[in-house]
Amino acid sequence: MSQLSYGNINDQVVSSMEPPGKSWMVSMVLILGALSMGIFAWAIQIRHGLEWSGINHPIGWGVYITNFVFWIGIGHAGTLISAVLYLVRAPFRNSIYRASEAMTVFAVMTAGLFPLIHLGRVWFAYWLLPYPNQRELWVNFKSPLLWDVFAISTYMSVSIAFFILGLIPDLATVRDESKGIKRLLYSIPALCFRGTNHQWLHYMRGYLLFAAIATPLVFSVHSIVSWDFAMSSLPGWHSTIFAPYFVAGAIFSGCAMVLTIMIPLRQAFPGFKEIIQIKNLEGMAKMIIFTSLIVTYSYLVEFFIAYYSGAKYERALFWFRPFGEMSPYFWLMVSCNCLVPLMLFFKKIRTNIPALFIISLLVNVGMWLERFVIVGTSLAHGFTPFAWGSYNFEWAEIWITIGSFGWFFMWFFIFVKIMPSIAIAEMKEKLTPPFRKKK
Amino acid sequence: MKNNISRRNFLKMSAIGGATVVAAGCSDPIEKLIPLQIPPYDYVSGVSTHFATTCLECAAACGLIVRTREGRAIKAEGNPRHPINGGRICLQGQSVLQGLYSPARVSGPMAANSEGRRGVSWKEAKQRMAAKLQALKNNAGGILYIGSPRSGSFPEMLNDWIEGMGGGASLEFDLTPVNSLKMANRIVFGKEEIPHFALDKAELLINFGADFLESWLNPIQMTKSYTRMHRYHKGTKGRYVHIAPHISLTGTNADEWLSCPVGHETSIALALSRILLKRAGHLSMDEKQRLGAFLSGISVEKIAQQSDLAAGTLERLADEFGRNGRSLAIAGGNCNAGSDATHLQIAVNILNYIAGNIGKSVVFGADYRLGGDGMTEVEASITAMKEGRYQLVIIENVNPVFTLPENSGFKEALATVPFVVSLSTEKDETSELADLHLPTSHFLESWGDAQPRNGVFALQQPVMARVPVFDTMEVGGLMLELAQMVGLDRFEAPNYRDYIKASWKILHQMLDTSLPFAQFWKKSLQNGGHYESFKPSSIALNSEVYAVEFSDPPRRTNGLSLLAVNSNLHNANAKGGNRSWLMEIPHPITQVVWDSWIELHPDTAIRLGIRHGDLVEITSSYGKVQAAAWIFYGIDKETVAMPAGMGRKVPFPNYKSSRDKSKLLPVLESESELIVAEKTVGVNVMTLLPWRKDTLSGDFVFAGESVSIQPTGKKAYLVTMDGQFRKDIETPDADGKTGFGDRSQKGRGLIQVLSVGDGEKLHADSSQKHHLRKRYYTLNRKDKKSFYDPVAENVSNAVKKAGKQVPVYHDPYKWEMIIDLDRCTGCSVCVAACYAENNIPLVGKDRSNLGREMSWLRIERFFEKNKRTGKLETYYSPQMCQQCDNAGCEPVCPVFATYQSPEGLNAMIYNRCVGTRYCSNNCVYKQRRFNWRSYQFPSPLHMQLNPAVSVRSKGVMEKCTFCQHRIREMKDLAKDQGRDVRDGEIQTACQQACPADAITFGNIMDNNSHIKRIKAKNERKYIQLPELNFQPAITYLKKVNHNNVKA
Repeated sequence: MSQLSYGNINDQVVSSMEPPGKSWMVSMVLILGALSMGIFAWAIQIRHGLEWSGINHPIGWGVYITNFVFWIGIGHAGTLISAVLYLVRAPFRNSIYRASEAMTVFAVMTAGLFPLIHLGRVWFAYWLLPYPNQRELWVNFKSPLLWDVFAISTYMSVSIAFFILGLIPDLATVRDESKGIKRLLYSIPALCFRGTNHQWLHYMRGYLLFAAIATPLVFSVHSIVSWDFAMSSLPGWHSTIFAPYFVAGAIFSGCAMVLTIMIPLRQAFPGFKEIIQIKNLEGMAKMIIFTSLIVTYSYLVEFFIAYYSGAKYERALFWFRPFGEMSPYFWLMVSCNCLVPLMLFFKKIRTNIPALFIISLLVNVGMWLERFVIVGTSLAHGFTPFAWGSYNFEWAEIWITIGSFGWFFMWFFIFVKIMPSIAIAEMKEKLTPPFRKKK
Repeated sequence: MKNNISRRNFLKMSAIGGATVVAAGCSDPIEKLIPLQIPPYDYVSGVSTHFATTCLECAAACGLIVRTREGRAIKAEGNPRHPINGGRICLQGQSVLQGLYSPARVSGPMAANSEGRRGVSWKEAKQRMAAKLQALKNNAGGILYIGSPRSGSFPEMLNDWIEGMGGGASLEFDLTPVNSLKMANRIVFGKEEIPHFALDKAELLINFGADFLESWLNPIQMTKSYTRMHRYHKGTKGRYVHIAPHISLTGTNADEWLSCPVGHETSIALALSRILLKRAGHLSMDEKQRLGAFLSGISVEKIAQQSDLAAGTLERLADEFGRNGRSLAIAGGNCNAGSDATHLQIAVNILNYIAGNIGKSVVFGADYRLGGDGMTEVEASITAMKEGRYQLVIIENVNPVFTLPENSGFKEALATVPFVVSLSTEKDETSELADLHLPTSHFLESWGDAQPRNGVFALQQPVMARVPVFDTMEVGGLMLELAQMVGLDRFEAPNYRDYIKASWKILHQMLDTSLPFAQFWKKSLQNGGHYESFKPSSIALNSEVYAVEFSDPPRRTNGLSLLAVNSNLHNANAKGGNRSWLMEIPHPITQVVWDSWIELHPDTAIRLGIRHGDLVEITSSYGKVQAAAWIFYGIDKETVAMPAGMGRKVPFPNYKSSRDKSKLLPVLESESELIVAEKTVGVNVMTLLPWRKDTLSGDFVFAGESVSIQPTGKKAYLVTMDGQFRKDIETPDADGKTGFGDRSQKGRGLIQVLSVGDGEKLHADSSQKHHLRKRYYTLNRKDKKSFYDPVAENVSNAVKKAGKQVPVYHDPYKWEMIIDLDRCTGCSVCVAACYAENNIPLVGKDRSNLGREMSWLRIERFFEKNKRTGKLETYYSPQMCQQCDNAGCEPVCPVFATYQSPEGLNAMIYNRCVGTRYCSNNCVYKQRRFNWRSYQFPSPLHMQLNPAVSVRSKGVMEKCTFCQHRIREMKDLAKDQGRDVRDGEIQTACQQACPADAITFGNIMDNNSHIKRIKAKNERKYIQLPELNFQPAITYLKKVNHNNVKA
């Protein structure tokens, strides 16, 4: 880190928060366009029913639940990087954890919309909350969907709190660097942080504790999401492997999304290139290989168990997935999730930025498809052959999916402009203090 | 037949009625259920009133009980007192309410003038009509009246009327081919009548293609008596052999199907007669000799060879058939309606005679009034119209312009008639050509009577006031009024009711009854008529029969011949062909909805290069149409079959569809665009058929027209309900390379089969052994009880301890159902009854294609390959919500919208449902239906809605409720009377409708209930998917086959 100093880290990070330029504005227009597509489609859907999504009988869950699991999965990487990697002291996390934590918060915000979007009567969504009412109606705590409600809201509140906690020293830095009304605005969330020893002592202890609290959530949320499927009786869903399988998948997709976001971010702000170094990205790439192998193993085990159990429903389903009418999704998924990441074993590829970016995109596609394959094919091929079905995409779900990306990126673009997207304080920790002589 | 009802019960029923309004949900407008401002004094809101009347959908004139609520007919059921249909009606009968409330009905008289059609007042219309009649009065024979076949007092009145109006002719128009049967009976036995076929007296039934479970004669009566013969009872059951080129729904129920080329049935019947004659002991020597001489030209070997039958088949059949009168041969229906249909009937009569069945399983003297005039009479009328003989043609509720083939020249002939009056209830292809359209009331709004057979005098009474939006007159009333306007004698009755009453007074004098007329009339109204048994008449062979000459069967030409079969959903007259229920209910064999299809044998398809689901063009010398190919083993190689009666315009809401549109662009649907549009469904097979009739009887020829088929290279838009988009159906599997695919139940044991004699042996399917294992936790408990019993006990103990008034589970009721697959024929009447009873919306073709059909009850149809013979066999299983005790749907609902009711039902609370659809995903029987939108019940069809069942709106899950409202109704009644519900008091709609009595419903906690007895004793019981431990409340009884094979 020869060129970096406390001063230029400050300058480079704070410079990313300058008033937006032309390219930001153009992107934002596109993003808002996408978002309004989604809002329009949802409005139509509320007015007319779920008519214009491909969901049908027997496939009662489709693109919406796929999107939900997809975004929740993406929401995993941030907390994993900020909390778990913090606890295990992984050095490559420092430069990327802020942005990925922001990604987590926004991804969970996006994911949280989908259970609402897929409801037949969204205007009664509050019935899913156990609130006291004069009709003595209560919710069913046996239902995994209700567990979802709690798991997601807990995860969301903890990750927001953790995100804000990590921001405190950096907001103080921004406050110090700015003037006028801006200074006043930043001083409020900075919570009078002055960088005293006393404050740092409490801050670091608090951060550590929070990391410890957030860590189990990383594993619990996606386990619970997986139980939406695993607690049912359907072949292809009813499986004990689902919790670890989903968690690994979530980290896999999350890490890929981190790369998908960090690489353009690094490109957009030239100053970041020195801070977000290739070796940080390489660290993420290694995470991707690792989780990809777990995911591949899970796929294989599912097939093996289907064969080994001898259950004809299970066998029929796992024959249907690769060879049935929905097989293109399966094979695309296998190539994106199992084969493509293998390329990262080569150092040349894993340190090549464009290659890394393309691979991360493919992994995202693959992981979306994985969820679609799990949701769609299992429902398509249940116990009664007479009720087997298939899935065709319809416009509203496509528009809403596009809209969800608009929603996510809208928040992220705003975040980049109003908050330091790299953890200034943590980057400074890694530097040799300037008043000490280099050895 | 009003239910006894107390004030208390009334309040409850009104509360249920009120609750249904609330259930409507979010933003959809709420309508008031009770339309009456000032109700009649005996009207009780919320209480259903039942009226007995007679069905006029076809000539069979079954007895109906129509349930009305708040003055509106809401459900049609069979009249249990009626001796012919005994409480059941057919699919088309179930749909009469869609005829009553049809959006295609005309709201008032219409007159055509040079500018087009315009509405006129009844006064003006009647005056025009009367003026016309007045003018014709002196012009002898100027009137032609074309109506549907009627029995009872109407034909006589019509004759008098026409006579009075100066004379003319009347034509009973009906395409149903039964004249050949009458004619053959005249030739063979000297009696031109339709006898009583006692299927239940037979042990072996040989059927030459008559679709008696679908449309032949009275299919309900036939199904009932067939079931009595073919059910598994005390270790035996009757045997049914189907000999025809086309298997049809009826044939799929057979134990053996012998496929023969079109037109070969006659020679097969003669061959059987010849073999049997040798040991016909009951015949006199003289008769035996004469018959022997008559049949001497028959070579059994040659016939077996010509008809592609295996050697020895005919001998074996003849052996079986000779049972001293305990066998029966029948023939008929569209499948046999070739140009020598009568010869087949004659051959079958001889066969029955030689086997000694006449007077035993074939009983004369009943004289069923079925079928109309022969096509000879129709042709004569057409010629007369062309010649200008008729000045006035009155067409009442028949649609010859659509039903007859174009080359009959009916349409052109009609155009030459100076004045055409249509009395049609609905707007149809014929009424559109009329100069004056005087819409008559539906038969459920009219008076009338009928005599379906000797000894049955059925009354028809209006079950409700006229449907408010339609300004119509009943046919009889209109005739009376016109007669009075013209000034005829003998038409003084002030209304048609009095006319009927007067003619019943005469009937009363003729009958041997001790009741005074007033009581007789009242009783007949309550019972739906006056019923007596008929006197069997003795029969001898007519010597005329020896003069009959049989021609050789047609040789195989390698060409294709067309069968225009009845599709079992509606009749060949296309009546019912415009009802959305009948379009939406899948055809039991093909599972096709909203379409026509062409059935092809796999070998033929390979030869022509056609795959399943291809759009093909079928050409005859009279026309060509395009339809989807449906590759099917159940048809002869040189035959193709198409359903008759399709191609009508069906009024249906024009829901938008994204089909064939870019999925990236929005499809928007505005409320104002959502109107009822008429869509043509399927193709009219009459386009292909010639104007040809049976030489002897004049029956219309539905079979045997030679056609050719070319693939168009396109895929058809064919929607079938047996799993859309399934690759395993599309890929070649079961029968080579045609893409008929594997439509089996994949060894999942949903339908289980036994064979007569070897009770324990299963249908050669080792994979089903797994199902027989006792559940682990049941076996391992010391008391051998279910794992769940102690849990339930704990719950009830805890409830008692808490001193709460929480319902104790399953006391005194737990509702269960038993479905006997051995009785079920797959006829799908139950599906129609369910649609009618439970306000199930119709979704149309596009949405059915997407898997969004709403049917709560479906007939699952599987083609299973017999392991021993390698042939495909057809099985049916009615599937509805299994009301599991340990249901998958209940625990996953986050808001308790579905839960276990104290009576063992999976209650579904529409109001509470938020629409996560998790319950549907977790239902292993896949019986739940989701409202993907708010569906329309286009006016006036909404008047048919059952007020006791909520109409569901968008975003809500729904499913079979075991007719919860019917349970409620009877429980309330029982409570008022201070007792428990009696066994059999509650009938679910499907159970009530089932002509085969395959469905039993009742309280399993009642030790004396029918259902409990079956469940305790019957060895055939099983539940579906038992290893999943959902503990369904529906028990199935295994299908029983003969010798492990069936058709």
